[in-house]
Amino acid sequence: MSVKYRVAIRDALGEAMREDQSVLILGQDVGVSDGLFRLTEGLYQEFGGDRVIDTPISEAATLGMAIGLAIRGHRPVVEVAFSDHLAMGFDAIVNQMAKLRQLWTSQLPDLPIVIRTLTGAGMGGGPQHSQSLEALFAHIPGLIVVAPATSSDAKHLLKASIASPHPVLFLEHKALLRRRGDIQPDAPPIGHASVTRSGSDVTVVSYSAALDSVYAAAESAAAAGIEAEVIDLRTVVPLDIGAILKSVEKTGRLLVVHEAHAFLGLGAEICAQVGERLWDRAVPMRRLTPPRVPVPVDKGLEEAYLVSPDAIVKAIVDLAESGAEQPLGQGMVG
Amino acid sequence: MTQSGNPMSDAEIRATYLTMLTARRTDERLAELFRRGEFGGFLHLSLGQEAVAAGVAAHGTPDDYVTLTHRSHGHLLAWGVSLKELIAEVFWRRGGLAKGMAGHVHIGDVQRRIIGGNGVLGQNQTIAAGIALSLKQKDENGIVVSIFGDGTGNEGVVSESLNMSAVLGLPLLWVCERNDFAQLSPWDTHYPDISFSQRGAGFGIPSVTVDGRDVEAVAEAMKEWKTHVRRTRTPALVEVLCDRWEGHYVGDPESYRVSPPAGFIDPLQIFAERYPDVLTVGTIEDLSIAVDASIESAVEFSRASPRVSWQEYLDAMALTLPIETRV
Repeated sequence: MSVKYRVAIRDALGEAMREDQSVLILGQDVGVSDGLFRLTEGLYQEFGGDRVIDTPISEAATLGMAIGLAIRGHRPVVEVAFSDHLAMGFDAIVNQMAKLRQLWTSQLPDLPIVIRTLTGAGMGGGPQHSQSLEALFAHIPGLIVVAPATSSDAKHLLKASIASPHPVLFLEHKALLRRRGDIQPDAPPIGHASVTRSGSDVTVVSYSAALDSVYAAAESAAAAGIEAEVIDLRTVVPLDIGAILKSVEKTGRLLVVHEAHAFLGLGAEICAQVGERLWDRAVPMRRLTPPRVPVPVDKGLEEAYLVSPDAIVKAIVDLAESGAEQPLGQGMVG
Repeated sequence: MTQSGNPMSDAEIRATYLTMLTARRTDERLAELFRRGEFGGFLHLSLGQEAVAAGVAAHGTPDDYVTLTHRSHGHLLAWGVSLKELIAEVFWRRGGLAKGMAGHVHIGDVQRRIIGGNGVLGQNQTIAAGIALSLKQKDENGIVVSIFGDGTGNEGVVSESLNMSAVLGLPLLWVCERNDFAQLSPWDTHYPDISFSQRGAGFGIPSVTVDGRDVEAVAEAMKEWKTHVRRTRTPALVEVLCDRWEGHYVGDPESYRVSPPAGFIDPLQIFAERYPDVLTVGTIEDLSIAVDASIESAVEFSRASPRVSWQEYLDAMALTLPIETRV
């Protein structure tokens, strides 16, 4: 039975809360009003205001409170509506959640906190409601960053994130909220990528909503006789570099596609690691990302901003045919 | 410190004085050792604020949590941390309270309900709110005492946390340790002409201001307001006025400093003058000798305690950091 992405998330929260009394949810509008995007629909009615807590508009204090709660043995799940607004609680995440277990190593083995937030563009949200900021947080030791692209992965990985002893940033793509998908029986672990399309000519690594364009491009490329192998990372960090290396050893060519900017994005890290480890193979590699400008307000401009299937097809074909150096992005230096 | 509201017994008077004296002599000795290069990092002294430390610790229960600041040696001692645990941690030794990993600023012990100073001022107030929410939800007897300075009081998160405690109804006693200095700047750089308790009241929190040079005044306020918080499970705020005798840190040239013309009020002196028959010159001298000996013993212990090795540090991080994020 196929389930909407946002319902899969809600279902994961409900199951986790039923299975473990220490799980609780905090955030703006999560409780009485069922959630800004209905991601917590029905949970307040079932679990009450002690476990589904509506907070004032105070991201910094709410994220800091999650730390106090985790210290006391709860498993808080904080909803920050838009990943752009994680900036309001940047200290709590980067200086506190990722550091306190270093300072009090023997006293605080676990800090189970999940921060759930909507990421990405494609909904006309404008520059401050559409960013992909995973690279900022993936850079910091001590944080796990998860970015599921399907209902099944969203459900399983959210439960895994809640069960994790580490702080987890869980990125829910806002363009995927109504996407339907079947819930698979097997639960993938955090840090485990998935080869979702087998191929022998080019490895295409991507994650979250960018995969839509990747799959469309892979079909077009197949019509031209080029078989792309697609890897859905599912987790940004810990990065499943093993899966990527295994695929690139087979295909010899690498394309990374993501919505985040090219400069210091996940693609940069992947290419660096592949380049270092397969240094004797001279692997032609490229990253394909939006240009280095903010997400536009106008939805038409936003469409031009995002990486199109056509651009991906061209990159796949270029890599397969020549492997010659191409400019980054779509006309802007990254 | 009297628990019953009756006049203090001789033993209680001596114990109170001893707490303040230990705080005073410890910071003086650590400053001396720091200036001689015995240990590194930064050192923030609480000289002049001993009555706040001894007073704020009074009338609590073992179920209570405290969140501290970088200027917390006196508080740590008043809250029951031993001289050895404190000084060894300042020296980055494995015998320290946090096994040498936290150092002077962050000394704390989560299991003993002491949340150490935070490198980012204001953040401990958010953590305090989370702990208080947990205590309320689990219907426990403990409260959270969250200490912050007047400088910190202007961080946005402090306002957020004050509001959060009021709107969620948290068993939280906010203690603003107002020494009229925010790092290198005096009060009037940071605040208009108001008291911090006016700010607390602005958030709907019952708030008072007390003289932090008088240990008994501080203790009385703790008795009243810890009881209030414990009974009502709602927050209160006590602003404690005191003087920071030294600079922000040891080594601070203090070019900004304008001392009061009559000199600072000494909280140990005014307490001793109140009980001259108990705190005689001879008694104070005996206590001083004993305190100095305890401190030296702790210094020797700390000198002999090993530092954390690089491999031990990596191994400790391996336990707490998810695999591959260490790559």
